[in-house]
Amino acid sequence: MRRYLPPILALVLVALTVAAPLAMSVHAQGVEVVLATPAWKTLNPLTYRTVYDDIVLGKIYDTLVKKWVDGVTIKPEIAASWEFKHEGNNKILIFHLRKDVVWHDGQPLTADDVVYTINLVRSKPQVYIAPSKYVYEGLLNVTEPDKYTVELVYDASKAAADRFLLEAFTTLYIVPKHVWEKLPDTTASLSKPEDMVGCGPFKVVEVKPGQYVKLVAFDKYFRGKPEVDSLLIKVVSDRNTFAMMVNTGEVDAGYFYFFGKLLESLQKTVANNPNIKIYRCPSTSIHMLVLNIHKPYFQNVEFRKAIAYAINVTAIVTKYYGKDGAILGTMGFLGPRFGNYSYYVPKEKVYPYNPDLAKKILDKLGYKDVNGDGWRETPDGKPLVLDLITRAPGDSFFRDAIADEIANYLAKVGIKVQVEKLASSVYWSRWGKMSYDMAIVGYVPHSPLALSWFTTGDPGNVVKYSNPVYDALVSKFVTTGDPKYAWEAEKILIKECFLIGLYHPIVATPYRVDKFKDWIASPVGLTAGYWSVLGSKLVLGKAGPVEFSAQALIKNCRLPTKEELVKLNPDLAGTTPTVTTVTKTSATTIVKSGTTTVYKTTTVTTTKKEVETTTVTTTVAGGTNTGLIAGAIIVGIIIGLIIGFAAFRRR
Amino acid sequence: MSSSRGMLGYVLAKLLHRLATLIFIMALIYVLMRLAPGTPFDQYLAMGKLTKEQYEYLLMKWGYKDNILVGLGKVIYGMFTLSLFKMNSPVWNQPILELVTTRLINTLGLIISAYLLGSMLGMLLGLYTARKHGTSSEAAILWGALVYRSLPVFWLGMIFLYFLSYIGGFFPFTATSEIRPSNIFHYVVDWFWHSILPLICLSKLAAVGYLFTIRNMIMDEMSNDYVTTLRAVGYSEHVILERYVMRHIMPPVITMMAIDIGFLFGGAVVTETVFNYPGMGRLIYDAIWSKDYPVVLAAFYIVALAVIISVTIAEIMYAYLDPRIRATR
Repeated sequence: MRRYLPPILALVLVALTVAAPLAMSVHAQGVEVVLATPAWKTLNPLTYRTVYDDIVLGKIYDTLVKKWVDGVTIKPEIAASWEFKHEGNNKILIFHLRKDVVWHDGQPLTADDVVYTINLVRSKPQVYIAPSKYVYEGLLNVTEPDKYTVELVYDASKAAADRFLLEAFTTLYIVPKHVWEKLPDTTASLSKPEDMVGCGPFKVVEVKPGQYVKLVAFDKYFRGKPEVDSLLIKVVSDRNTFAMMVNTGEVDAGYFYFFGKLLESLQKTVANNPNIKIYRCPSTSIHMLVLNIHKPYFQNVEFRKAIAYAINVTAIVTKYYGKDGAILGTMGFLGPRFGNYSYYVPKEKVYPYNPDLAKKILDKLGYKDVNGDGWRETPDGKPLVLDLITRAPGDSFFRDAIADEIANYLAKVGIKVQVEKLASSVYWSRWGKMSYDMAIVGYVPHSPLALSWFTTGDPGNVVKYSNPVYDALVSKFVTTGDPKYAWEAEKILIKECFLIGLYHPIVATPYRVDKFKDWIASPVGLTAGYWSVLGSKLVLGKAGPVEFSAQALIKNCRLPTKEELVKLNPDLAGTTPTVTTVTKTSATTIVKSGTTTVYKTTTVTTTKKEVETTTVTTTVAGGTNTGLIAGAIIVGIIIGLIIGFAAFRRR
Repeated sequence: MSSSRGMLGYVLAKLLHRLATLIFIMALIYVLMRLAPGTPFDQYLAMGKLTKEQYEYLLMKWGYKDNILVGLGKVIYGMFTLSLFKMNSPVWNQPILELVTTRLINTLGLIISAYLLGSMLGMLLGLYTARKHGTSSEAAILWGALVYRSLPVFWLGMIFLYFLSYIGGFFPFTATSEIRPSNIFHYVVDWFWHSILPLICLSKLAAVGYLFTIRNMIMDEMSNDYVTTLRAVGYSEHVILERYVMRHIMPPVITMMAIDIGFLFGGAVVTETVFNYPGMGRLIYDAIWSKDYPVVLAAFYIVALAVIISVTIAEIMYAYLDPRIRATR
């Protein structure tokens, strides 16, 4: 008997593996679509942080108003209409709700729920971080005149302009009061279907954290039942697996995008498959080379311009993204996806690639190669090495290779660059502390209001730029919404030349059309994976599909005239660049003795005729070294335990 | 000193030693995590998604601003009171206990099956090769096993996924099932279908180790005089092997089995990452990348505890099975 055991086991194993696919072929009726996304973290409509959370939540919950598929127009959703009233110093926003909105558990949605949601967010904005801050900024009072009307009173001097205030409400998911009042913790991630009651197009069937979410179409959804009957959102870890899964039909679409060379190889693999199409859309994001204006060299705008002249951005972008993989980055932060708000000026238009000019400027500023080693030194003879932080190799935007390219271009004008390729957590920490000379970074502005990320004291102002003129222009822009102020603010950024725009990526993602054909990108982000699976009847109505081509988008931007360009950068007029004659360099030496640290800062001010040196010495009494003490305590505990152990043994 | 007293002393001394090890591991992990820069919220602050106040609040709430000593104290206190599991995860915003238990169940399913599969296969092949010593089939198996053992798990996983899932289309890409099984048979079939590739990858650690250990030990034992005597008496090879030789080689095998549990946890990190399997390994990997110290500590606590308990049990059993060990402690 025993000798038959292995073959029997083997047979069972083989039988199981063969039987499995057959057993699997029993599927649910109706159209089932499978979406893939990287792992989400927090499934809570008011406290989520990542887009992957939003992909899932956006199918379950709904907002008062919503962006339409063009990404600009704001359309009614739960609120059938709205009106603004201006009374003295107050701005009043009134939402008239639809009367046919029903929660997934059958209860009707009323003004009560909306007021509850807004008050909850307002009570603890540091916890409910998902909605835009403009929802509660300057909010004085929320009332419900009747069952289907909500009235919000704002302080007009603090609230955002009408359009932007409305836009803020596209980020606020409304939650059911009758369910949320019973939740033990309204900030935690939700996973039980009975807790995840929304009023969106899909109802939750099952949530397996880290694995999948199963949804079914909600037949009482106020705009009609979605075309897809059930939806499975699966967690997939990387884009290569995703591409293979789309190819074999295991998923239909997902939140994974492909650029440049990755896109080319994807196109080759799916070329023979008529069931797979590729969707493309320019992203609102911008990737930039940020110069740290708080470092001594970069305090001089001429030096920053020299860096801009030395780098050929067009060549770099074409090399990694091809001709249609990205739009050249603007120097004014807002890219062509912001239409009329964008004052679109790529770097080569205003600071054209010109290494000779860069060398000339550097020579004039006193950055010369004194010791003849091929690299420039600072005016006071110290070696000049700039560090450039970027993401670790394997980055989906090729930012590691692009950093090398930039270093090469700067080497050609004699500037030594040390490229540091960092893992994401280290990178973000260095970026947040501004411990870099130059950084390659991607920003994702969701609205033109993101210009406020460079105003003094703004939480988004990580680069600590401060300019009262810029602040005034942006605050004017936020409260009026007039694009003129945005253009003027963008012009200041262009002149300052510390954000060198590299590119706005065009995202591309594959999707299958065999099970479901009516794919429309959801208006929330317009980039891949925010797929709306409601069908074109519900999303578009009678309007035709919206196309996003780079050329069409750029045409809508405010493009500068030649004269304006010369105003932005006088060098373009053909005259020799005017080099400021006052330069300031400072160096800090740190002397440590025992626990005391001495910071000695020497500032050299050079004007036309005189050289002035000032030295500032700061002494800091050292604190206790916590790491050392922690180590000592651990060692102590272990020695104690070992002694105890030994004593025990001896007995 | 009576024998039972000696046994008890031995066990208690071992436990004390293990406790020191456990505290050391947790302290080391905590200090290492704190020395590495970054918090889970830096990115959102940098992106303008969080305001400065929201950021500071989150750091305070989850102890990222604690003094390293205070934090260490909290960790050691949490180890004994189990408060490590009572808080929420800063990244997943979910009770850690809930997060860890679901993942632990998944991983245990994978590890135990891989372990059974691997050890069974390894022992059978070990017996077989020992008996067929010197033949070409032994050489073939040994060479095959060595090559298989040398292939890294992540590479093997990707090759499996590419050829068996992508080209062949036999197996799914994700190691978890999303259908609701209608009956137990369906469930088992579905589970196997989804888990067979990670199982093969993970079980190789155990399988090849057992093959060589068992084979070498059997061959060693078979050259002893008592085996020759038994043969002369007329016992069949079968009886000699199963009744006498196997009994002698059991203690080291038990030790190996226990220690292997720890190695399997380690191997599971890579396997789960490649196959997208939502287990402890994947959780630890994600938590480390997103700087989620509370989850890293809780997960490592469970893994360390599992390894230490299994090793301790092995040692105690070993001492029980072989009195010489007790005497020489």
